[in-house]
Amino acid sequence: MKYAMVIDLDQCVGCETCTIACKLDNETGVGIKWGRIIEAEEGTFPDVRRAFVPLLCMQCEDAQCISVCPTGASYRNSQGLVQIDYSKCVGCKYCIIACPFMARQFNDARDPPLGVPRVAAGDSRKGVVEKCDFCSDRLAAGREPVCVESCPYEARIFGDLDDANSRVGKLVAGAGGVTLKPDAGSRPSVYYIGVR
Amino acid sequence: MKEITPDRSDPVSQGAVCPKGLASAQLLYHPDRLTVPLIREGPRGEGKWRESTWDEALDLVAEKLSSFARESGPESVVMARGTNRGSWIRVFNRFASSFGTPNWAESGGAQCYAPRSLAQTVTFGGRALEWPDLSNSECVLVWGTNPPATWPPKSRKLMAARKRGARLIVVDPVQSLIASKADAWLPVRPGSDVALALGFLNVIITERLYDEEYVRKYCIGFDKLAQKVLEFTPKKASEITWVNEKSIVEAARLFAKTKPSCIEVACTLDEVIDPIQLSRVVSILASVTGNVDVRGGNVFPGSAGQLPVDSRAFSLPDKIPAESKEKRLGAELYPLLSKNLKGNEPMAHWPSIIDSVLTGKPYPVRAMFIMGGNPMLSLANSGKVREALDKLEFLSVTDLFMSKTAEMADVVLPAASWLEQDGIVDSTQATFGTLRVRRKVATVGEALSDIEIMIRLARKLRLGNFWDSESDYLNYILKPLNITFEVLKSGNGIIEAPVVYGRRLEEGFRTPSGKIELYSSLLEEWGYDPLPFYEEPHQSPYSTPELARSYPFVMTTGRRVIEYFHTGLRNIPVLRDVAPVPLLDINRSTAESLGIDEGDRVIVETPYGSMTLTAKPTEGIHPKVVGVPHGWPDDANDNQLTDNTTCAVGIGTTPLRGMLCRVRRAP
Repeated sequence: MKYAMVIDLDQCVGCETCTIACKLDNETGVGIKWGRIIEAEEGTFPDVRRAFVPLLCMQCEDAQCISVCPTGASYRNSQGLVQIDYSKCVGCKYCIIACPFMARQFNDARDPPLGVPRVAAGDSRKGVVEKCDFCSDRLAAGREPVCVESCPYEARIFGDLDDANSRVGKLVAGAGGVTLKPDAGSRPSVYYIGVR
Repeated sequence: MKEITPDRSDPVSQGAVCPKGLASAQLLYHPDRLTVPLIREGPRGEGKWRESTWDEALDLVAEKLSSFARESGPESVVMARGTNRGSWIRVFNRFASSFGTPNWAESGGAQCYAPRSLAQTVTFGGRALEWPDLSNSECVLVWGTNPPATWPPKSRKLMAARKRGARLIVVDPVQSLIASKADAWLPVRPGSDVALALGFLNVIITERLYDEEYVRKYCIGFDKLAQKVLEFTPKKASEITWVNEKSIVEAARLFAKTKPSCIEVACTLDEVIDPIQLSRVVSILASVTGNVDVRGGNVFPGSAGQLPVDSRAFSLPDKIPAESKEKRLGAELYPLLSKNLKGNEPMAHWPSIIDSVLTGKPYPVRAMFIMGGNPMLSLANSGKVREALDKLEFLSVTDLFMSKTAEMADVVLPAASWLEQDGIVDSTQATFGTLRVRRKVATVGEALSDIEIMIRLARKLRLGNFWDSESDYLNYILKPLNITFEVLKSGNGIIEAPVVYGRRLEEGFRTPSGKIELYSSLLEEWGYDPLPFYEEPHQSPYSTPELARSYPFVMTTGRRVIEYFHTGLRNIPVLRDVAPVPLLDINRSTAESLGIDEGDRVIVETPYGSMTLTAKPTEGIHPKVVGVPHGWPDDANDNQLTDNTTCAVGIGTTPLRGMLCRVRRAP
């Protein structure tokens, strides 16, 4: 079993539904995004091309965040997923520097703007580092990660890469899935197709 | 209510749930929700309130409204609402008529739907532009709208069409989300859209790319139209619109040669100085290419998914006393909005209402009853709107939160959100013609649904023509379908409406001639130009070169992001966190020349006022154009920049696209 995600950049319109669904499901605090979208612009007006690239924890097979963690807070769980044990995290931020994908954020329990209430659960993680964990709780309950479930365009496909007949397996092989920053040598489990 | 999850098996959403919907628990249980009626204590706008019972608050509203009606006639009371999805629009209009005032108004109206509804009605006797048959189309022309940010279920269909190979053309001054996915993006100068469409028609007609057989069989006035568009060569269209000539020619060819093609529009068509011309010329584009009432083109919504209610009859216009009906504000200048013509239910004209409050002419408006709307931010020229609301003798506002408008009120009534009420949604726009049941799942404080509030108030005002309860109302409107709300609710709560193709081709279009009227006999009869024409925006580098020297940029307002709905939802934690600040779209090199970096605070100014926002430099906009968002409060309110004195001929729209402005870094 090797969980993997395939993201179809051709179908991603950068609408941020995944970002918002993720924040709701994981009850993250102000400024914390486990998943986000970056907008890449190329050319000059009016010959401009724009692409939207969703980013999240890449669930690397050679996870540098785990090797640099001095307390064992970052670890690989029984599902094979890179996880953070908040009770062990001391907030040293080594992992933030080690991650090639800027997938991790330190929770400094920032204040919301005037007139916007706080999300209590987000604040409870004050002082530790947070990140996406492929929604391991949902996976354990037989559901898909919330960004996959909520994408209006079904631009994200999730499954077991070890299963050659799975949709992710076929897409990575057939549609020429690529990973980001292969030179970093971390072997991510998130693949992108539809790259133009 | 804990969470909302997408349902891929749903026939309307197909699992494309908007994040606003996903975040609804944060709306439902928001600590700042209004939960009891409030009565003002102390000066207007100071924020001192006392809690009251529903009985006391509604007694006060009823007493005030009826005393003004007695003293100054029912027309001295304005009933205004915001936008809506659901069936309460009918009830609101019925409430206003039963009270006797001809002055019901909405923040939309002339700014949204009224012009394009009228233009489509006179052209093809229905509203086909509202219904592009995306799932069966080979080419989609998106005109000035950004479905990924505004309408996920529709956007899903659009992206699915694109995935199977349909071509995509997008007209938008800004390279929006959907424009980023297009085969052709046409960055039109804000407010010059009609010239672009006339340029398209010039190419299509001179290159004989139109559907000759369709035009001969189903359209009238083609020769006169052809004559008219001759002067709009691609070169001329390019000079006016700032879109390069080659792009115009290629997009026109792509749209006309690919079959079937359809057009997707929204309220952007309504927010220019010549909204009827724009909707007309876009309707004509669909018509001459043979794409109206055909599979994959623009089609007419089926009626099976709509309640068989004649909205006009339901709102009981005859209950308005004849002498009051004559006094509808704006009717003289803007008959296409305010008189009982084809296409729209007649309504009062907001800028004329504001003038009446401020000047007492032609008669004074003394009180307002506002529901589900926020005119303080929604209407053009906010400074004047504030002055008017401040001058009212009585103001009642119904809302979920203490909005900028509610802050000005004498009585504030707490409204229930969509999760706190049973209801029926049968808007063809909201549900693609499918009738849906909405089930109550929660209760918050003493908040009541808008319909329940009107039923109770109608009882206190002894209006008659109302129901004993909300469920009586629901059963009343369902009666023609021989079903009760309880029965409908116990099933899946859906009545689907399959699209019927070609019925109008067979039976004739619902116009005076039975044909698509490229040359409009109705507009001619009413004294307007029967053929589309281009009018330069009332402010532009060409129409007001003097003004353009001090205000060198062309501005478009009203840009939407997915997180918010009009003026609402900035207080929802998850939505605000993903869209924390209002952004100014500005060209990268322009920003550089003004010393503006990404994230800088910037001030946009017009002769009417200023707004402050955060710069987002991009190459996806013309160097002389800027785009500002709509709906933010206080110094980020875009309507501080807009003008309500120059309105569209006949229909009274205040132009929100294509004004002049200047930009500078905030000190």
